[in-house]
Amino acid sequence: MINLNKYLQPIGVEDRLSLPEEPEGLQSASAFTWEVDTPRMKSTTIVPEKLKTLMGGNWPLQDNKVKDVSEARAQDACSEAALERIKRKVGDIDRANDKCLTRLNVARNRLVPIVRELSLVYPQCSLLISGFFLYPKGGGYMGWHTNSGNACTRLYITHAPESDKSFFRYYCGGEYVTSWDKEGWNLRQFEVTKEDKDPLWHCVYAGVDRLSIGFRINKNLKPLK
Amino acid sequence: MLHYLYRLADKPENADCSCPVGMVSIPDESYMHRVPEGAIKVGDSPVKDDPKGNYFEAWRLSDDGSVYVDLEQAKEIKLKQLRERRDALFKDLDRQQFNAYCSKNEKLIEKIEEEKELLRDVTERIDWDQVKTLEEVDYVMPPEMI
Repeated sequence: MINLNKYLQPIGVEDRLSLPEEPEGLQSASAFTWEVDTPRMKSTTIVPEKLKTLMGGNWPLQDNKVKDVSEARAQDACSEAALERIKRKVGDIDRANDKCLTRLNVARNRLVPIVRELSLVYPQCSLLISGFFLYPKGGGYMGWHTNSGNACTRLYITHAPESDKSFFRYYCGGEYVTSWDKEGWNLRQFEVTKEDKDPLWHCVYAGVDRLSIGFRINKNLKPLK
Repeated sequence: MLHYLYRLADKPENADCSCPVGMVSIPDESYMHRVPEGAIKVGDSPVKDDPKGNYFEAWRLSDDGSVYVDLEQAKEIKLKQLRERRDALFKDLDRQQFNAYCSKNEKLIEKIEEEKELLRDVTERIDWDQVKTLEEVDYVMPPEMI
């Protein structure tokens, strides 16, 4: 089996039914309604019901090890001072090694309808899952990084059980912006650029359990006939 | 380990250096007799954009000894991978459709047929003109193929 995506499971192995049941009576969305809409960053809490339904339910953890969660370390790693330190001493960080999170498994029969739903919003795009994480409460985090090795549009669908207890923080145009999660589902879309093209530094902090599924979006398809 | 790359065929005259490469790895220099003449010593990861060698068949050796990836060849490799994945999906759908026939589930038979129809022309949907780097080759994945 070719490993096209590390999160995909071999066809027909983990699910007998590769055509999942779609939730009935829910309309698909052809666009998102962004509450924040800037050239580099878009975000909203208006998440289509069908997408919320598809994202709901249980997701199995890849490992059940208890993470060494530290509120102080998480807050420090996501601080403005931390980024200033990194920029001074390290330069670019494509992928964050400094993190506290747990990976989740995505069964193919759950991923397919989510990707197909998203493909209605991004009709000429390949959509590849870039990560599916649970940031544990009390100090889950992913430190500052740029993803500059993978220039593309990124979409993150996140869930937080409470408002203003977890955030996505980014540095753009000389300013730090903290985008707090609201209770329930949140969508964020941003543009990742190469290191030499003003990369978007970003990090994640979670004071509460925060579910996050990310997609790389590349426009490389022709319209469906 | 020491790694050496060499051209598999002599470069045709006036050609753009488009010959595939071979790679030989030896534990130390006492095994040099196994290294073809003209081979060039390279590091553990000779192509920065392809550290795992996923597109090894598209690797090319330039006259100055550097290794690069023939993008058009890389696209061919990707297309082959996608076709193999599509075949696996078809096989799974055939199995499901057989079960649906046995249980006379007309609705499911129809749904599977629609799914197969989507898959048939899926590789034609790829807009290769938009794919300009090896990284972009990696991210070609029509949603029907997930």
